[in-house]
Amino acid sequence: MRPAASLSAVASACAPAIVNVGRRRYAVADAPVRTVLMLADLCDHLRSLDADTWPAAKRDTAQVLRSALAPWLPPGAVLDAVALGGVTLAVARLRIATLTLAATRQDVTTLLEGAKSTTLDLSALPPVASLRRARARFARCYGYTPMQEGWGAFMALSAEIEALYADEALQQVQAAHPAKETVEAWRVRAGRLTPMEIRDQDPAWRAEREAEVNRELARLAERRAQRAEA
Amino acid sequence: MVSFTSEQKFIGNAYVAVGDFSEASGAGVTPIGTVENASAQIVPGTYWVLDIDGKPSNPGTLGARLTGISMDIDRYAPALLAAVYEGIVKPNTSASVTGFQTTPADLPQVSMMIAPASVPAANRLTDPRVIWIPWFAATNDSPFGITFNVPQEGANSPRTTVSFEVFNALTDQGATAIPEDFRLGFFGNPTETTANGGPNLTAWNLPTSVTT
Repeated sequence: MRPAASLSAVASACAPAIVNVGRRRYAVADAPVRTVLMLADLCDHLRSLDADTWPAAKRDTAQVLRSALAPWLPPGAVLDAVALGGVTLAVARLRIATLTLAATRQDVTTLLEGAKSTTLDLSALPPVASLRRARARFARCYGYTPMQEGWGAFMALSAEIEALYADEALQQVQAAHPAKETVEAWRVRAGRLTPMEIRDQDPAWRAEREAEVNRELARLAERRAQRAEA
Repeated sequence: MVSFTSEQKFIGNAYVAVGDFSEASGAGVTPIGTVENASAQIVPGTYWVLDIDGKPSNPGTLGARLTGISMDIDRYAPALLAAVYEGIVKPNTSASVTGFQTTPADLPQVSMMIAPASVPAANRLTDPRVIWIPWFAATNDSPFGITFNVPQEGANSPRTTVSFEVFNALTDQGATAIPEDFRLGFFGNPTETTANGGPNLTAWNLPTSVTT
């Protein structure tokens, strides 16, 4: 059994500049993905707790939840999610698993929207089978029953994610476009800045680019002058 | 070597150069640099291909028409594009436009190369994914003018979206005849000979600044 104090370590461990998940790499600025990773770690951690250790772990759990959810949920929703007072371990597990799915849904939705508009390579998305396995694992590990609080929301989210993957129109769009952009390239572009905008913020790059353009402008002017003389 | 067929092609990030590819040692080529969101619209069906004065340039020429290319260029590239046309075009005085307009009769022939970012610099002349346009002009709100719209984000935006019209080029700038299938544009090596199904523009080349 891991001590509850390790939860804060989970939070800090989830914030490197680049996060690798299998063959996928995510920038830390990618809030939904970071959230998924953080919540998944939290779920694993809660599996190691029991009814006796849960009360002592509540505060750290709330802290991890707060840092995980703050980037993408409204403040009120974060407060609701981290309000674990009087919540049993089973309910907390279910709530966090549901939040994980909600974050996954946002991530997948964002990716798919990008795929529709930029012919993103869909092979970079986790296969739907892994989502099904994840759902089964949640249910098995945490002992969910349809009578528990949040079960309906959990199942609805799970089905929604599967439906997103089954978007035939999207698959057809992909098949029709041989040009595909990498997930990394698309994520940079779908985020706040494109590569062009990132370069533009670099004074050294701008100075170098300006000098390069000025050289070319001078060369063109010289060619025009020579042509005029001839 | 593949001539254009009907499709909407998303190119994405790419490297672009313009000018006269028929000049020796790439002297006629001006590198525009890296662009984003490049795409080409090739309209299906058959069309009369028109010259810049609006008349059918070749009554026998029918085929898919590449109607539009658009891309985002960086804040320095408009000056380069304008310089390629300098002396021939005049500034547009509209406050909302930073570019230029011209009359159809004045429009010079300028060619364009669009190399997807995935193509290594050394392969830009030969890679089958590279697009070559023998004659283009930037056009947004005038039929044959060259205009650059101020981006929505404001005049200090790092990017400018520019779209191009493609014309039917009977010859290149070196007066070499371009085979009918390649006059609007083509993918792949321009120096590929006719015997190999290519446009046979054997003089076309790129400067070392574009291939390194």
